[in-house]
Amino acid sequence: MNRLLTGNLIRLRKNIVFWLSIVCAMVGPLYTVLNNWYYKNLWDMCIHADAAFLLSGTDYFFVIALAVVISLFVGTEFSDNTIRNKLIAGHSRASVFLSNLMVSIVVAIAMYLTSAVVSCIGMPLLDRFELPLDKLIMQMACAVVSVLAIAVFFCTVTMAIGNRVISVVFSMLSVIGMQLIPPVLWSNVDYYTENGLLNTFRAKIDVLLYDWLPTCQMYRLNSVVEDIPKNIHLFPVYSAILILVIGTIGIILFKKKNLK
Amino acid sequence: MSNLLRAGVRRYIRNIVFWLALVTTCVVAVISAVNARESYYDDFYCMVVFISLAVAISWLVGRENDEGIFRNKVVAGYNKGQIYLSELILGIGTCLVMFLLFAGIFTAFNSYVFAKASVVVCLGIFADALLVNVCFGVILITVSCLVSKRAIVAIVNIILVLALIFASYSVQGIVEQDEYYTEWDYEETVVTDEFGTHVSSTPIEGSEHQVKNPEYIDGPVRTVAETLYNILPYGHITEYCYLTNDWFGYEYFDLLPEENVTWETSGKDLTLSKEAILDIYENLIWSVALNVAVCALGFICFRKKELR
Repeated sequence: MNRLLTGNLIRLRKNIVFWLSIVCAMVGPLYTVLNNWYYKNLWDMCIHADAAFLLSGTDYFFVIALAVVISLFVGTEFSDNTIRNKLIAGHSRASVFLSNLMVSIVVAIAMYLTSAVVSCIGMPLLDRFELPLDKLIMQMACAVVSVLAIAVFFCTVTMAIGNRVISVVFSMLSVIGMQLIPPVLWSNVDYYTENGLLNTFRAKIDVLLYDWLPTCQMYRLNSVVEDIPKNIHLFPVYSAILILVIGTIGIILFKKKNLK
Repeated sequence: MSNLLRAGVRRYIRNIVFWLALVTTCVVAVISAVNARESYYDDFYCMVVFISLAVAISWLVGRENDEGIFRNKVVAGYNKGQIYLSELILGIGTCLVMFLLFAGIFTAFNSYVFAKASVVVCLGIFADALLVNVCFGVILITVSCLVSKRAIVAIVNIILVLALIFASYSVQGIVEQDEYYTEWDYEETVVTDEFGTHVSSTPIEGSEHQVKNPEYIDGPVRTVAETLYNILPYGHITEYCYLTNDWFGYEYFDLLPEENVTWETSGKDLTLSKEAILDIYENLIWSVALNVAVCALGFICFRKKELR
């Protein structure tokens, strides 16, 4: 397991797509900071530095880049037959799966940290934080766990599909789909709340998805101060459960997979 | 050349991704048409169709490049120009099939528009929408012919579609700014109500005055932004969305019609201004120009490309 992990990390360090994804992770917060700075000067208004920090790891660029890098990195193992070679060398399927899972988590954390560091540019350019520091850190910590849940999902999908091209396309389409769900669920939940329909079956399903889906959590975590979800402390718990469930399903599927 | 086309058509027809793209188009067209009839036309559905087109073209053309079939065709005696043209014709054919399916289904659900609007205007929008679809197709095919790895082709094409869409929205946001906006003077009064005592600002009647919008751009920057907006193919679609919502008296960003009033029952006059009609004709010219430019660029680059 240690050798597998070390090998994967060395391969990751030399992978150009990984470094490109790190650059992509900078784009979202950098754009937010510069855009806010431009409008702050244009309209002479107060714009707080929170936005870029809250956006870390939750913008479109970030999630799409994460999908691409994980599906390409893990998918290459299949296209180059490296996975079969690892099994022949005596490693168990579970350890092969877990090593890839851990590398995916490393990628997600590296991208998230890059994103958060770039957000610091906003501190001198924009106004002071609107959120108390402990709440800001809490929201960012919740976002990290949501990002990890998404990384585990992409890794599992790639290991289950076993074809680099199909897994890239599937991951990209699913990430686009997942980014479109939160606004729809938000308007539905808002409608149910306003009309007192939260006890209906459909409302319960929508609220459940709105709480559990990592992209919905991200959508809510980068929202403005007054909209901070009341159950924010449960988000990391939901994401941790998802990581465990998806990871377990991934191991089961990979153990049954016929490697060519 | 005809042999290449015949083989290509067989390859497309036998491929499941091609049929999945067509099925997606049909499903999206039905949802979009019903949505347009009940409330308003949302360009989000065009985005779904373009993404499925990107996936289909990346899969079909990218495979030829990835598996060395282009090289085999060159070995068999075809030149690179013929290979590029055959891929272009096949890809444009796929675009046309998808577009005609979408347009046919949409028109079947919303044919009442023809009784209300000028046929020439409808045909103008139809022709430009067709050219915009072909434009997307040509860009995607060119990328697929120039990039050798299928996985990279898929990533580049999907990101390209998203980038073109978001770029159009951004440029639209810049170009559509009004030069002036209305501002009022406010009167501050101390009010005591159930929330306590607070200062309330109320606009003074008759105090409205026009203020220069700092976000409005003019001069050469405006010319560049407008040209960019015209060049971006998705810009035409957002423009038509704007136009159709304007037609029926909806605000583009505030799509809240009166209760029980739809486009069909609104009884609005669908006559377009001369400027709007000229815009449609101008868009047609831009679409043709972009198609020709991308095809020529792709042709030149593909001929210089080293096939592996």
